[in-house]
Amino acid sequence: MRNFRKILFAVLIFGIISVIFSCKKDDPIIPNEEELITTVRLKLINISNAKQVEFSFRDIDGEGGEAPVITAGILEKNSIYLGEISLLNEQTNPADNITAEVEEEGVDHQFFFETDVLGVSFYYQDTDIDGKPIGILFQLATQDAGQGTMTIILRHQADKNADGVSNGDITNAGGETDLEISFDLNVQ
Amino acid sequence: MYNKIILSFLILLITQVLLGQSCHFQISGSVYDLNTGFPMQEVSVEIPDIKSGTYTDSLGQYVINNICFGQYHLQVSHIGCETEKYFIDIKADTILDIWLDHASHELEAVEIDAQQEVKRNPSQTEIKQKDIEKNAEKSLTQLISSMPGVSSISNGNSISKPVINGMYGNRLSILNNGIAQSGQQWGNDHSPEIDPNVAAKIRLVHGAESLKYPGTNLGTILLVEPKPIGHDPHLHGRVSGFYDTNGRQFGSNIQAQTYNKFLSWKFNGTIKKGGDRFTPSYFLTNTGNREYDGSLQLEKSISDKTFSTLYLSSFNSQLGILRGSHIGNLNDLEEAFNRDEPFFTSEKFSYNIEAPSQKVNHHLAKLDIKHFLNDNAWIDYTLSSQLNERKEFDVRRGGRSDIPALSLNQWNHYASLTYNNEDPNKNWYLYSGLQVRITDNTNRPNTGILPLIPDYIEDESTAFLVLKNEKPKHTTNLGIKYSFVYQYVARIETGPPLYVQDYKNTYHNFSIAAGHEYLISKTKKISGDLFFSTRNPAINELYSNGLHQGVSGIELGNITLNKEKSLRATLGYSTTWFDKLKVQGQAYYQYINDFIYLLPSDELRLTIRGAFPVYQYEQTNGRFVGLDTKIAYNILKYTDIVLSGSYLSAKNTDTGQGLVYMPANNLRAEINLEYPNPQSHSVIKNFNFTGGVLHNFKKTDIDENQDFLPVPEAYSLLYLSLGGDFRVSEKTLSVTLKVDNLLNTKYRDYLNRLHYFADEMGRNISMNLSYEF
Repeated sequence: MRNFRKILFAVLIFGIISVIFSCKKDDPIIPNEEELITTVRLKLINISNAKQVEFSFRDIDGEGGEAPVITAGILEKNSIYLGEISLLNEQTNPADNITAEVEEEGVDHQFFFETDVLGVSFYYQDTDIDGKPIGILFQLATQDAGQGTMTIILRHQADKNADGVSNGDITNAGGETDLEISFDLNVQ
Repeated sequence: MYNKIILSFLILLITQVLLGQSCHFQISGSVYDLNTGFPMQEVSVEIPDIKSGTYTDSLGQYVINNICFGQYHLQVSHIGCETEKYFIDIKADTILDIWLDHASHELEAVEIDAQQEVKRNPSQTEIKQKDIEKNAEKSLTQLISSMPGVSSISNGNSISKPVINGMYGNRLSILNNGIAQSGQQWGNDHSPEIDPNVAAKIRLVHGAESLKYPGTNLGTILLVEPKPIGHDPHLHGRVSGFYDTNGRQFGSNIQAQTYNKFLSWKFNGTIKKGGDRFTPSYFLTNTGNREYDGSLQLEKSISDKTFSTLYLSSFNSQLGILRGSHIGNLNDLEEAFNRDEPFFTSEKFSYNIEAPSQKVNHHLAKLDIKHFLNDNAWIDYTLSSQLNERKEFDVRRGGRSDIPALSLNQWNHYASLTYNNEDPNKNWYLYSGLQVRITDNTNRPNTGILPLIPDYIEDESTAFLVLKNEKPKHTTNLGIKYSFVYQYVARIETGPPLYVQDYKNTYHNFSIAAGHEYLISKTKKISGDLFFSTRNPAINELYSNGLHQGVSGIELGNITLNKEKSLRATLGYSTTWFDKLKVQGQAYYQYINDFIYLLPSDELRLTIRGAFPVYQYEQTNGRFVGLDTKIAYNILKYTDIVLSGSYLSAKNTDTGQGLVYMPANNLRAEINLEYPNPQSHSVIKNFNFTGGVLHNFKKTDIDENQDFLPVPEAYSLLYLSLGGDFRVSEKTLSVTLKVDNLLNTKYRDYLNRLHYFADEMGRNISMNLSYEF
């Protein structure tokens, strides 16, 4: 009889546990993706005539989801442009300025510029506290007319002392890519 | 220390009392091989308490004379056997027959349980206590990967999970002390959070018998089993220390236990600290590890029929991931692969762990009440709770590397009620029961990153019945199991704006299995099993969404997935010729209909970090054909030559291609020497030496378009181990010296994700000292 009561007790506890089966999950808190870069803007000013050209890359929903919207401008041949990159997180309102974060951690960041359009060259116009380039400010020079693409890469924790890296050669840079975007480049 | 003083004092006291007693009692008996039933000669039977002992004669018999009235420890040991210890109470002349499990390292083994009943356990593979002790520095996965058919999938040296006959992750349950390990099992870079030092035995169970254990089961499960405390009222235990030259890992394991009528207890604690591992030519920067584990087992007899066990354990680890393996996009991956040594390789050794890294805590509480209805039947009631906290750190911008990029908490509650009957007179053994499991998974919101795996609740209710029929020559196993699974998922959907979408699913899983074992003769055995089971798609397969570092791509769940249906057939054979040559083999064929896998699509998705390949969970049909085999030849009295090998062909039958992330075939040749030194006064006992070579073949069934980079080449590794037991004031000090990758071979392994970035570890010499009291 005592055994029977014990078994009954065990069955009861078991039954209670089965009944309190959870069946709904509370809604998760949506994280604030403050590190996200949704938008890259390139502002270029032709130093001879002060004409402004803008390139932009916008991927509002972040990695995955909808495809990004890319707009490219047209550059004049045989010109020198002063360029400035701005990085934004437009998921927040107002948009977060990520450029400031990159500038603050300048020693850990460097932009690299690549293009297949002949005669187009890039020069760094800014430095971090160690006197090495960051690339938020740069100069772009064009020669002949041509068409192709321009790729902008932001490396995090690249080795700026490695061979050629301070001159904009990415080969020995290492680090990890925070940003890599391409634009159509049209020089007329 | 304090306890030891008391203990010494007590022993002294008892000895004093005993001196006045008569000392003319005798213990005698025979020792038999549990598998064959033959008597065993040259088995050491000792009573270390009174420095008395003998060896069995050619008929397997032993006699120890002139024993005083009192309580003793009886120690029985033989080469190739686990040393068995018994606590005996001598009040008169005693006859004690002993069946020894003379089958260590074998594919199929038989066990003696607490009641010393002889039970046959078909189709299982195991690692025994002695091997666990010798390898206290190893992780669970490293420890068991020497078993035939077992390999590991890893992300560097300290992060690895077991792969058994091609099954791992969502398809393989690991049971820690009878409880299915709960956590983020889906991840290839997530190790099981179990300290193997708690185990007295680690074994694989195949076939129908495995259906009585909880968890997903496609034919095989892995059991990590601690031992009951027993009835020895003295304080016993072990203190061991270890050191690895490669990575300079050091640590210690402490175990202590004592039986008490009121409450018996057992403690197990492990600490480990390791630093950067070294390949033959450079440091693997940021591959250190830390681990702090503790467990407490409390046993109490509530009545002479009711026994309760409370088990508490806590596993805490911090694991570094090779700095150079953290990449931003595919171009980084290609660049990393073309380098001689990884980016961020430091010239200097360091114990530091920085991002990328993982911090994992796993806590388990388990209450088990066993109530015997009669000598053969009992009811078992188990309750358990687990909390798994996983934090993964990435290299991040803006000082955020200290904020986890992934932070998941998972609670798991489990209750089971089983009825078991092992009446030897009826031939039929019966195991039946109900199990309920609740899993509650929550992303902690402070990461600042959209979670890859959603928040969810998963409930599972299970009923099972396993029957076993034992006759002298035939053993039949039958099993059936049904589970009802309910999932409630709350996923954050990409906007803009972001919003939460709920999903509900229900599944019915069925398993049915039958197995038969036939003892053709005392030395020949044949067995066969059929196992049908279904597995519902796991949460990550249904709902993952986002960039997954582990696959260097965007991983998309698929909510249209169906259940997997698996059929597994195994055929086992074992034979011994002239007591010299042992041959064992197990062949298997497994067909999984609607096999769920990550299919790389042609699509490259453009993101701000560049273009990423898109992987989607899809279903196909998978076919696994394999053979695990072991041949041992007893060339000299104390020396064996052992050849073992594992073959697996895993194929996607829809495309004809091989399935990715499946182990390569391997062959192992070993020479084992075990010399017991059968003089009871000798200082060194159980001298053992092992030297071997492991050859891992190159995988040939993976096409170029199935992976980013070519499959690594085949490799061969030499290893050796040397050990013995020293007598130190009537206690045992075991010393083991091991060398892995003796020739410092440079190689890469396909199942290590780091093979894209770096070579494997070079030579490692490890020392292990273990003092038993």
